[in-house]
Amino acid sequence: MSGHAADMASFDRLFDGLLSGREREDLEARLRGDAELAQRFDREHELQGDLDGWLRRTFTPPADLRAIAQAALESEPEVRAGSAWRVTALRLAAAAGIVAALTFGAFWLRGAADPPLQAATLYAEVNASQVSQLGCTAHTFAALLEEQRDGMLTCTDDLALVPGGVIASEHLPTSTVLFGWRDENLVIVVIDLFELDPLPQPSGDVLVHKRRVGPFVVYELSPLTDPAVLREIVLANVR
Amino acid sequence: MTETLTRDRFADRFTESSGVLWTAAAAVVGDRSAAEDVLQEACVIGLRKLEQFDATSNFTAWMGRIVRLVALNHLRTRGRRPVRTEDPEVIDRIPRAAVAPGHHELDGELASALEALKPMARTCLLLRTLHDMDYREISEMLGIPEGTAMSHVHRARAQLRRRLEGRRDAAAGVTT
Repeated sequence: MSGHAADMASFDRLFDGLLSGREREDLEARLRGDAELAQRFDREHELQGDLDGWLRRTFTPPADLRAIAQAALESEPEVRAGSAWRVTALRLAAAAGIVAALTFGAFWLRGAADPPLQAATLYAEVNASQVSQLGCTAHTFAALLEEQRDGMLTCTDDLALVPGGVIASEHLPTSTVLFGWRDENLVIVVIDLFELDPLPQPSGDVLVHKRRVGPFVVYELSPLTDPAVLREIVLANVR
Repeated sequence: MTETLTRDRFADRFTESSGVLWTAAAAVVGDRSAAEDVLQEACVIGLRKLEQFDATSNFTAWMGRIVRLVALNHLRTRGRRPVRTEDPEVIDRIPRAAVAPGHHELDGELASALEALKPMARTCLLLRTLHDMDYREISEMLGIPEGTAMSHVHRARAQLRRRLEGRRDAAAGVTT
């Protein structure tokens, strides 16, 4: 690191409150003995102060975001524990003494759980996007994958998926949904954080293959018996 | 064994964290009202996923990850068309969300510089600057190493300072 770059790094650490007492004293001593460095420091300090002020003014959160949580609670009344209609359903089931009905009741009692996404539903959504077949290489697919996941995931050069793209699925609001074709079969790749596993279920002719990659869960949905691309998606830093 | 949150407790903790969560959304979508939309959607998803959350873990980090993912998908939805991998602009276009301009003289120049940062760098910068979050917290929320978060912040600040300096020099008629 050049002297100038090292000085700038020290300034950054000072502005960020990361310098130790000793480091700070050393820097202050240097500033006292070097007028040019001190001038540069004053300039950077002023710029940083103005910048921080601008960021705070521009990105001040709205004063009251309280209504958001309340609106969410109200928009999801069907999952509210103890809601009257659910209790009624359970009472009816219990009165009937039918085991199947109790199982049904237990399902409703699960509360906040999402209904499982049927793979065929997502398959139909991607098909409906009417994306024509376009050329796609492992390189462009990898670049897209890296961009979508902040550089944490990529794919190997062995990817045999052509062509492809990415869509925002209304069914998977936190997932990245990529797609392509293998032997004229549409192949959909769904990526999400493992903790937010969307758990797509096989349905119709659409099979579901699953693999965990670091903090991510990766699904491949297609009619293919063997996954086409699942093993080619890897953590970027271990490629 | 995991502990789960009640819905009311979820709402309380969401409200407590809402400033940070709004910032995480705004850093990606770059628009105040869109950030609120993202927050609303993320809140509903959080409620639906509540059983998957361990109440002894970091709520803000967990919700922050949901907010961020919803925000990234929001950008794709806003494009209103599928993004195709052969499109030469695609890799550049996605991270360049329109950053909310305000009504200050500096806005155009700085907003442009801020817009040129990747969403991850913007998020690190804003969480650190606006909420004084430490790098461990930022790292946990964004799923990146602390050192990466720190270098995002320092690099972003240096870039923005250079942009601001250039603008002031130009205004003062300074040539280099």
